[in-house]
Amino acid sequence: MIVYISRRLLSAVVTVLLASVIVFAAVQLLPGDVATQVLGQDATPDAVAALREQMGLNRPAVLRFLDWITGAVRGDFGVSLVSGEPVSATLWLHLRNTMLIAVATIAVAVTSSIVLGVVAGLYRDRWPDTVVSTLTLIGMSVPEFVVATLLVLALSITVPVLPAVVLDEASAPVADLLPAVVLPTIALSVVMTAYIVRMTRTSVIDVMESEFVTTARLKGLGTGRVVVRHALPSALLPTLNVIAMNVAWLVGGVAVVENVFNYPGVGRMLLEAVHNRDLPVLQAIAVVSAAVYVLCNLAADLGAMALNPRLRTGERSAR
Amino acid sequence: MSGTESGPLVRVEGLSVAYRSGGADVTVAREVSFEAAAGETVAVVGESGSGKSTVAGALLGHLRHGSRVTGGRVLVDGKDVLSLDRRGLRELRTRDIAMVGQNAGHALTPSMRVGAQIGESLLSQGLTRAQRRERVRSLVEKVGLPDPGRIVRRYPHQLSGGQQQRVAIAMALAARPKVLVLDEPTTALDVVTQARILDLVAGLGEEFGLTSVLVSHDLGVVARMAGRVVVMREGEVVEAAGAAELFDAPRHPYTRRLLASVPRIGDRGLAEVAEDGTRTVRERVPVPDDAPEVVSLRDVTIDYGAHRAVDGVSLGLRRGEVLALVGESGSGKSTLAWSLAGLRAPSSGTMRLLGTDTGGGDRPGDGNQDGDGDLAVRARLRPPGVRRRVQLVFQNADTSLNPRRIVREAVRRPLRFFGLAERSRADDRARELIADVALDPALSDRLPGQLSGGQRQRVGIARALAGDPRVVVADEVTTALDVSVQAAVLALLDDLRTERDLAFVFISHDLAVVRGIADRVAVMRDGLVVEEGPVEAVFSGPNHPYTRRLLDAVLEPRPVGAGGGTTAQASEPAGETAGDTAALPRDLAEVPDPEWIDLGGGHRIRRWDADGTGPRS
Repeated sequence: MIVYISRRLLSAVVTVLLASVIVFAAVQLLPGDVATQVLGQDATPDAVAALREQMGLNRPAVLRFLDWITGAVRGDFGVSLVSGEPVSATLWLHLRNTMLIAVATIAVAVTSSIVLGVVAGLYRDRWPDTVVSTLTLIGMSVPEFVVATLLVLALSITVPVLPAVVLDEASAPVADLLPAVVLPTIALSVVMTAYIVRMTRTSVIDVMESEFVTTARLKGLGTGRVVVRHALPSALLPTLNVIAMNVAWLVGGVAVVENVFNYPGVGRMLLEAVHNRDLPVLQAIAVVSAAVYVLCNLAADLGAMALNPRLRTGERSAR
Repeated sequence: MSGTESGPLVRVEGLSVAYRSGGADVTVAREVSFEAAAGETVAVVGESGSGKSTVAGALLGHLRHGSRVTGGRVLVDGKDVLSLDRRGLRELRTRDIAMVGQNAGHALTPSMRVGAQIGESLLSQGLTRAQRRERVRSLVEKVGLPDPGRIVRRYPHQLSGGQQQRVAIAMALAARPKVLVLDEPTTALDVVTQARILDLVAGLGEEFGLTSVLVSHDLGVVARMAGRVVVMREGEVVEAAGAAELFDAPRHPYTRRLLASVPRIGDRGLAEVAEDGTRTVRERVPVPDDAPEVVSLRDVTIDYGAHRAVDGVSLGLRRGEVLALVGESGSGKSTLAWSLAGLRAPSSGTMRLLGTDTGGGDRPGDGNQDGDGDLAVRARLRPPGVRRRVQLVFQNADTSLNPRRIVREAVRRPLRFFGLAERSRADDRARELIADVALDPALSDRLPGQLSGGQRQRVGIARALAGDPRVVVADEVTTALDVSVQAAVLALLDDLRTERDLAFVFISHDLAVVRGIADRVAVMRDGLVVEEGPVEAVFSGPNHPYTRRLLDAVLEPRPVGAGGGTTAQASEPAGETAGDTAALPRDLAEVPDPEWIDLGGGHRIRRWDADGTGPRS
């Protein structure tokens, strides 16, 4: 088991490393470099050359990558071209803000979707299933920015209880940001829940028809015990990966929703960086996103180990 | 036993069950009636689709999703099962009746330790945790599981099939039921394990005075266990009688046919059953003495990591010969056969396809028409000319055919792949092959799901024949089929063998089938061949003690003793080192080969330890 976990950890590290190589290489392939970016179109070749010399851009790409990656490992992503401030300080602030939304969304979406999925699966083809299935279909087909806009219409304009846009700076204290977190969280949860519910429902139905659940029922156990002890561990296994993919999707989904609400998170930072061609910031965000993605999948694998004793107990299989 | 109470303990009265399919009701059981007195064992037998499992479920008030009762009653200990509410049902299942399912590997929850699963059945009895643990321990001991302290901490996948079934039995007994429903309790097990599990169930049934309802398709198991037998067909009871009476003088033609279709270990060939149930044994066509060898295995060893699945096997196979590989699960017989078919390369040793063309035009190993070929590599690496010469037929035709492709496609693919038919001719050729396996060519446009199990298996055979093979590896090809269908498929294989001079490697755990179809038998255990020889020599002995054990475990469709007895030929593995085996020359000094005892005529037996468990080292 320990071998498995360490192998899995190692592959996670390698994946992030590979991602950062690709990100770095992609930035190298863009026309122009940081020097031309900073000085603009009209810069004299001499000025560009001087800046290149000053920023060390004449050195081979491999060396520059090593510099960058060793810095990144220590949390130093270089300096923003626009503000001249260290990238990491701004990034951590925005990441913190995004995490507020992400954690809330995950908590809401995962719990509600598992509950709804199990209910739909257990009441297959009866009214609770029909209601849940219809709602999830709607949730899946409406894009998150439409959901966000509708929410603003309903809860900020018609009944003004929550702020429509956030006016706080990225550095605002968490307490100030909390009211602003609610609407983005709901918007993202609706979409995410829809996907997970459908997966949970299908796998609950499969597992409820399996022989071991039938056996548990025929032992005279109560429905609660049959569902929680016998069915859920197996039913959640396939759901786990869908959850992981959805959490990773959040990284992208959050960018759109943050812009709707003008929320000072990573998503907005990314968009601004793209506008300003702020390459160091882009690189940093790309690598951090990749790391989040990898972490989610790692968590899913470890979760699968917790649910499936076959993965935990090694080779000793009956056949 | 408490068999003196008034009235039967289990009573099914005119039970009808139907499910809805495409807007119409399909009947799965029609007016089924039978009863079981306290302490009695009643068997419900039938082929697939007979509704026997539906009836078994109904005894516990369980119906499959979409099914409903359309009439009749089920009474268990006076309670009307089908009218019980949720709570009543739970009470019934925790006190009165319990079920042991077909495949314990699927019936145990994979994420729970087996001790916890057994303990759950005790929850309703108001015991303390410590008392429950004690009860679980004693149950585990009762069902004969080794090392109870450790085994309760195991997960199901860490147990063997037989151990899993024992856990399932412990789970059922935990509730101290009056009635035990056994739904095909040993179908997934090999013969030796089956015999032990049946002994256990019979013994426990007597000890606890249980009333048992045994659902099975296996008439040998039924004969071993049941006092009375109910025969079902297409949802209806066709005959019900005492076991002795039913097996001696079946009244209904269907029962007669069913009984006649079961291969008997005494048959010296395949049995053919007429409509009226009379059976004739087909004459075996002997393999000519000068038949050339087509496959030769020398010291083949196959490892799975540190585990040695096949350990130095040397065998030969002649043209037109059926070589049966027998042994318990885990004996390495399937691994060996799959390796021959090219699914896994052996770790060491040689496996060769031998050319039979004496013209001498072929260079060895180039894979030309009739040249030699190396089989010790995976199929992908074999030259096409060699690859198509060895073909595999799988146990489960339903899972080995693509469910979304019509079956003609499955047969056409290898024809095109091996370049054996022009594009324009391939479809016609595929139809011919389908006709060759005695299927209506009109079925060739169907999807596998639209065929019956036997028809699908014929398609699997046609697919294997498409490559014009010289050797066909048949891995438990009739195991999943009903006996009547099995007889027809076996007859087909036998015909193909003589018509096409095919050699078969035939894997089966059913020794009666093996005796019917095989020319030679190799008995495997723990990766070793422990005995090999012509089929009649092996079946008449003398034998290796392990072969003896396998033969003793065979259950015949004939009740043992009057009244459906609980003493069977399989109950005691006694005399496994005595008996005919004692007649073997065991004096090492006089025998030239220290490893094998040669009985002549190709019959050889591996020497064994004094306790009969292992090979002599």
